[in-house]
Amino acid sequence: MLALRDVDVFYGNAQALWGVNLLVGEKEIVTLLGSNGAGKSTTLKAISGLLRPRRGQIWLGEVRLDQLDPSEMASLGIAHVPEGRRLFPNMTVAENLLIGAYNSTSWARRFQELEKIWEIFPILSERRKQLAGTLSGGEQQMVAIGRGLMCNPRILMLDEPSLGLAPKIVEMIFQIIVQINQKGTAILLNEQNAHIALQVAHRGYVMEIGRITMSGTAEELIGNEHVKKAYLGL
Amino acid sequence: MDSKLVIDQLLNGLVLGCMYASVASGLTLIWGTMKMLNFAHGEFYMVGGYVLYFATTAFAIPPLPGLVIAVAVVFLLGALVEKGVIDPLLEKPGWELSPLVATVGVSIAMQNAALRLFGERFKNLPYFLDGNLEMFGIRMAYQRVMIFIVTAVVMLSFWAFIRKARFGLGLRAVAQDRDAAILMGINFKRVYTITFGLSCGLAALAAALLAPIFSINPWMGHAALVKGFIAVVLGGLGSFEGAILAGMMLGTVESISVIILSSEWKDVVAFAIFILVLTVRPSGLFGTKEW
Repeated sequence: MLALRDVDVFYGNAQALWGVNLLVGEKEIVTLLGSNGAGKSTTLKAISGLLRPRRGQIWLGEVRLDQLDPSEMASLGIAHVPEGRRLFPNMTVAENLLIGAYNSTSWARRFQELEKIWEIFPILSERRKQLAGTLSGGEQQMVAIGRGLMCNPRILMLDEPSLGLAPKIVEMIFQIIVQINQKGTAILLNEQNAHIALQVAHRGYVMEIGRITMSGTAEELIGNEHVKKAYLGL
Repeated sequence: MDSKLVIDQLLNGLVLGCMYASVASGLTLIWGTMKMLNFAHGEFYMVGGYVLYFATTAFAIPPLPGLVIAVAVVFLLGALVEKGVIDPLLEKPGWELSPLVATVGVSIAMQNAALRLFGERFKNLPYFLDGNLEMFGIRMAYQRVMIFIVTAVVMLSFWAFIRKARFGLGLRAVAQDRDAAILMGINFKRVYTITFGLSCGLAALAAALLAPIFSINPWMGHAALVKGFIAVVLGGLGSFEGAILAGMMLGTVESISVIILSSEWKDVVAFAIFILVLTVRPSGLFGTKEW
């Protein structure tokens, strides 16, 4: 469904991605593993149009994404939950979620979508009038994921959802990610915590200094010596 | 001191305050969202006055529809100027300074175009409404009553629009975190264009409402801009409520000062308050606020 073909991305003159090829199928959970600065976030930014590839193509089904404006992605069904959550701190939880449905197709269905979010995250329903900046880290991550889901995406891209969260909260967030996937949304997951990422993912890619160096099913990656040593600490 | 005089001046001050508040709310709106100052704001105010003048005189349109036309025309003009002048500077280095310089240029161009097209003679308009309201022994021209009501209604609806409407949500999202807003499918350039237009429209509203009290001329924007900036800074840069309250306050204090000092001193009083407040509370009376 989502396909990157030979994508090169530059920051000014510095090349950040080198010929990245990547596939996410319908209803799949795919994880990108790699250390800080490997190019995982850059890959997501290229998909959502925040960065424009200098070479290569990005496709969602039959639609070519790499020439489009980032503001068109939500209506095409791509949701990007950025690293560090990036909520709108002076807006309420409900307002933050509504912004997720800003594109005109989703806006008409915003209240139905909102009901779905309250079902997935009952705690947010209790906090709907609270300012997002005053929530705990875990709750903020829930709002960030919920905001991504408000456009009813075909693919949900999560950038480091476990960052800065307590292990118990991380476990809960990942259970919810699996639930979301079981309802039919494909997921592309950037995660430094390879243990938990490979537990939930169907397939994975390993990125090292801007290149994809390995790919396979989650089982294959867990069994791989290099992955074991470098990312699982075994 | 004559208490009637004090009340009269207080009412005058509030009318003047309405003008400062609308001008300042527009300036604070684009500061809050685009993080830029618009030095041509006064010229959009001026155009608002001229549009009303020509609508009511040359086209014989009644004043209230004329007011709507003035706001609409200046909204479009503002949006156009944003698209043509500000938009190309976005995401380029030097954003701290470039819109400032560009809008000074726009201001000079518009002022001279007005001088060329409309001449240097001051234009005057009659009051939209005749007669006076008499209540509790106070007389007040209906024109002034109308200025209050229209300003209050517009400010309240604008506030509700920012809080509740889809575009308002988008505007606040762009103001708080532009990159995150882009990810939510918000076209920030469009938000900027419309916001700039709205800001100019608010200036036009102020000019059109007050046109019968002040006269219309190519330089009328200057005083409006200076007082508008003072109100914005007094209220706390970027704060909408602050700009409105500070605008009303500034108008009132200026008018009251006329009782004690002569009227030439009212700008001195305005600037003295400005300097005093900034010394004591550098972030303004109500503090800078995110949208």
